[in-house]
Amino acid sequence: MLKKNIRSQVLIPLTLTFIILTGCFVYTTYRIRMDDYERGLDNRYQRVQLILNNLIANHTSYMTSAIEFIADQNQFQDAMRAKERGVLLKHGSPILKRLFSQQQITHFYFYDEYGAIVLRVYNPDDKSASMPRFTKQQAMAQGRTVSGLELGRSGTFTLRVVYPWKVNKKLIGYIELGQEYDHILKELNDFTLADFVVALDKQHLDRAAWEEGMQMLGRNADWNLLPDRVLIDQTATIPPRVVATFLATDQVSGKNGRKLEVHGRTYHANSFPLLDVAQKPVGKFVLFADLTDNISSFRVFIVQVASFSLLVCAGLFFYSFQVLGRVDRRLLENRQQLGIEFEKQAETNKQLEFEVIERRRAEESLVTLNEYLEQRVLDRTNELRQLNLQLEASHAELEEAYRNLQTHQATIQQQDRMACIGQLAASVAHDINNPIGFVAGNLEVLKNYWNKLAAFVAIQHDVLQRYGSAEWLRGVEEHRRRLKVDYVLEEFSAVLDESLEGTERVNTIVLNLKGFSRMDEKEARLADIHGCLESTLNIVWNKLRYKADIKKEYGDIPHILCYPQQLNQVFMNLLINASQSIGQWGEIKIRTWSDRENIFVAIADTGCGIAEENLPKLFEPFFTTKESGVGTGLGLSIVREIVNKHHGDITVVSVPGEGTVFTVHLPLGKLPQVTNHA
Amino acid sequence: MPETIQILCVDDESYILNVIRRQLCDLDVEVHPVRSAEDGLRFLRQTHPVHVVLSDYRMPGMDGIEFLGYVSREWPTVTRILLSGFTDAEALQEALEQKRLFAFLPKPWRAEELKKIIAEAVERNAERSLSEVTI
Repeated sequence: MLKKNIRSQVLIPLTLTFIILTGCFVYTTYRIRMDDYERGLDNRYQRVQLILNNLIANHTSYMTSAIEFIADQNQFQDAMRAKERGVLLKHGSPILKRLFSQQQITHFYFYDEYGAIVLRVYNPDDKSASMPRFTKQQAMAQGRTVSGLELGRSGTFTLRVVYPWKVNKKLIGYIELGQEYDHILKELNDFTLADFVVALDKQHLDRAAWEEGMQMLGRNADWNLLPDRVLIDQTATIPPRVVATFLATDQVSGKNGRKLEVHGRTYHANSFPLLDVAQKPVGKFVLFADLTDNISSFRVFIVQVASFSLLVCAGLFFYSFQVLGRVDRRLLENRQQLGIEFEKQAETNKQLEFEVIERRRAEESLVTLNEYLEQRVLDRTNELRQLNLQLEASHAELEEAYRNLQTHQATIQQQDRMACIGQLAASVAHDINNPIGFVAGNLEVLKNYWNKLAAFVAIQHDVLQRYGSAEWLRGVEEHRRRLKVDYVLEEFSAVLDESLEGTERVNTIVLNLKGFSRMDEKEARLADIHGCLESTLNIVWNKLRYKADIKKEYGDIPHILCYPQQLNQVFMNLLINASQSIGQWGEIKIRTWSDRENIFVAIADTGCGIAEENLPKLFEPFFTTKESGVGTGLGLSIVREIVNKHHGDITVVSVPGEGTVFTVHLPLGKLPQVTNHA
Repeated sequence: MPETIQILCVDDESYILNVIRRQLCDLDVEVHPVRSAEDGLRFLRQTHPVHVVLSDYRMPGMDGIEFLGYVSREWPTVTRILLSGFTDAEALQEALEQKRLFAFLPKPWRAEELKKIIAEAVERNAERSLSEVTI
């Protein structure tokens, strides 16, 4: 399809375009030419008109000069005055002859001062009264020379000049010269070579006179040729019918006139109105221009242009046809090639599409797999996180448990240790108490004995003083001084008392050691916290006595159901810590008080205090600020353990550099009631 | 007419026995020291019954509480006093609860305490004698 049509598709529009262009060109050229002609014609008409007017003016001027020449001659003046027609004719005839021969002046009149005809020089025999003519009337009315074209009854146009003949300012008559219009037209034709036709309106003519006049001039006179006009003169061989046709439609023709076809020749016609001296339109002046040659040459030009164009067109057509054919073939080849490649491409495309689909499917499955994997990973992560959390929790629990275990272990260890000490003390107590028992007993006995002896010595001394000789007395006194008996007597009691106090202290120590022999006491019992405090103070006395003043502010507190041995340990640990916090010398104040439901024991020291950052860790096991080997870091954790066991708590307030206050709070009635063995 | 108070002292430690004897020398008492619970029982069976038995707790062989238990069963009227540096608290409590003991004296003891307890025992003994007489 494409193959077939490419030529026609290109060539038909091309040819059409070419033809249209050529047509346009030819038409435009034609229009321009015609316009040119018409403008030329128009100019010509105007020029012709101008020339005609000038010719008329020339003739008028000439005639006026001729009249003035005649009027100036005395012979004519005299003859006129005398109204001698013969003289006028005699002198006038030669002038008329000359005027006729030179200027074709045909009319020569003399009128008297009233306008009556005196002599027609050209026709002296006619003595009839003259026609009332516009020119003469005007001249008579205005008293000056009047000229103009007058239409005669016979249909002849005459240029007339009427001259008021004045001699010494006295009007003696009128002279008139006249010339046929035909002559002027002929002159015009000779001059311009323009063809023209003069048509007169019938209304101004008398048929018989006209026909006669025409006949006289030797021209064809067809009164009936045109409905309202007659042709009075024509230079061209234009059939009257054509002229008639033109004049009939003259009114509608444009200002540039009309084109007429006559006998294979082409004319261009234009008309202007023919005015008489009274400026009255009396007919038409029609100018004809023969365009036949021009048109034929123009046609030849057009034909040449057209044929040249067609030739070029044909050449181009042929060339294009050839070229397009080649292009066509090439296109066909390319198309075939393209078709093959297109098929290949299509196949490849299909393959690619297939691959793309496969790829997409694979991607989708990958995405699905990915999502699944992500979900799995997410799930697994969550599980792991959960597990981790659980692990952390259990780890924390384990740590907590481990710490508790350590605390417990530490507590147990300390309790064990204390129990061991207690058991040791218990077993040793008997062995110690026995000797202490008899030492103390003997000391008391000794004191008793000493009292008796001292009393006896005193009695002896009295008796000796009363009854002894001076010499004996002097000897006894000397021995008494030498043996320092007075000093002995004085000191003996103190020796015994101090020894007894020693045995008491040993006893106390042993008793207190025994107090720790049973840390794991199974049952709580009612106990006096003050007793516990005292017992503990006794044990740690040796540690405190060189470090601090002990102040006691014991309030009125009830007995409490508790594990007294364990509370002893609490107080002991707190008191030992207090003493260790004091550098040189300080004060340890033990205060107790209670409200209805609680007992409070506060142990305050004036030691170094505890740094704020250490406060939270204070009760943790193995936390110690003491030097390695001095503390285990378990003391306060055991304290808390025991206080917790009593459902109480322990608080600490410390100002570094000023001291620390530990307050143990023990609720009343929290432990199960037991039988009071006291 | 008050008779001399007979006191049986049992202790494996002779010094203790001596101290007790010395502490009570000012009183109208006769102290019979023995070195063990077995000797004490033998003494009680062979001779006259005594008014007060004062025994140590920890001794080779029979301990003080057991010994005083015998005494309370066989001679219930005898005032029993336990003297000890170390005592099994439970056993002591039990003994006190079962009224097998009149008093418990921890070692070391004060002479005043001992004299006071002996005085109480004598008084108690006198009352009992009086009631026996009355019967």
